Amino acid sequence: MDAQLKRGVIEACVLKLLTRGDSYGYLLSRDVTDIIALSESTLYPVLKRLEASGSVESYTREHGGRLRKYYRITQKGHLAIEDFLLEWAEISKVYEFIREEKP
Amino acid sequence: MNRTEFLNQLDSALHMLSENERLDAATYFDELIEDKMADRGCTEEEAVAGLGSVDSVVAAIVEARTEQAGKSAAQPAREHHDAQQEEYGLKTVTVKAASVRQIFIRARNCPIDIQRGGNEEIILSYMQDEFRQYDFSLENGELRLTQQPQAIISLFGIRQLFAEKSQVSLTVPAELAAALDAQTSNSSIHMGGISVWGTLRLASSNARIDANALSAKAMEITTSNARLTAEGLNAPGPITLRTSNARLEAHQVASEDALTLRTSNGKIVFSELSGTGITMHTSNAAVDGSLPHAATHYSATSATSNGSNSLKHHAHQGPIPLDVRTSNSAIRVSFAGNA
Repeated sequence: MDAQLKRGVIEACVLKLLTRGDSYGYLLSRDVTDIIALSESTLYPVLKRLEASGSVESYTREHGGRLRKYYRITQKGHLAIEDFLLEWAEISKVYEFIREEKP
Repeated sequence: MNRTEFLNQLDSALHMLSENERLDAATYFDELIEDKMADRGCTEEEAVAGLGSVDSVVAAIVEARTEQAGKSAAQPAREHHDAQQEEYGLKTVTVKAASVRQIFIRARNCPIDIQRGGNEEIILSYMQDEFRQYDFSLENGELRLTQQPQAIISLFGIRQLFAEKSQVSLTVPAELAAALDAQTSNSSIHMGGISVWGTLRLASSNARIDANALSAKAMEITTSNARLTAEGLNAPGPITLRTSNARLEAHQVASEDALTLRTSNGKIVFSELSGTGITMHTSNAAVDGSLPHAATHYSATSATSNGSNSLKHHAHQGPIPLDVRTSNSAIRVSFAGNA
């Protein structure tokens, strides 16, 4: 998959997963891998970007005697999911065009 | 490699980053390893091995960091919010046609529409938004519209590729006493009903170009992966129409020099073509159409594979060389007076 496209898709998957509840690095990585193939370190830059763009916030909680960083989706993150779906609808139109166009 | 070794190697590989950034990365991966061990009941070594090489992890971290730097570089501009907002929106520039000798447009991911308007003026309109900003200039008869490199990376970056909303639109006199060179990418170009005194060059990629009722000193029209349709073109100089992986249609296209039609994996459909030499090349699709003169006017070179070829036995040695090639498909060329 095209790198730019894959990036957008992974970001949208992370945001969607966060709508089901706050999550942390390892769990997100495991859940995203169920949907799209990616290496375990891929999510670090993705989460950094989402945090920098204000789509997610993070906070630290104690868990099992150590600290764990949790991520939470923001209002902006919800909007970003809607944007993604709109963009995808546009792409589907293009996909239909390409699929049907016979030389 | 155990966890401590991995984190130490990571830390030293990230020496160019600040203490904070190194700590942030170390915390993230330390947590990841620990959670993975707990979840899968695997050893430290197994958990570390699943992360990939230290180099690939470093590459991912550096990538994220470079983008952040890009964003903060764009930040100061955003602080002048009001000033910037004024720059956004539909911009329209009108200049006297007589003062322009050359029009030069360089856009990206943005369709271009070129149409005829009043005799006296050239009107250029374009939409500026957070994704697209342009530099406009008119110096020494050269009108230039150049899209600036993108400062802000959108979250998904997909809509920009497909947005057809913010087009560049150029309105010129029916008789344009200038050369025109317009280029974009991933977006269509449409131009019709204009006589360009200079050379006409239209270029895009991954989107269609429609050109009709145009004349120019010479023409070069190029796109890729999409249909190119040309109707009613003429030029004293050479005309080249080129695309790829799609159909190319040319009707009433006349050059007093060489005429070249090229595509691939798409049909070439034509009628009423003229030129001092006519070249039509594609692959995996037919070349199909009719030429305006009798067969005796043309001397043909042709080749296809796995398909019929109506030029195969063309023995005439006429003044106009005709070069037709495809593969895995038919060549069907008929001539005036022939069935």
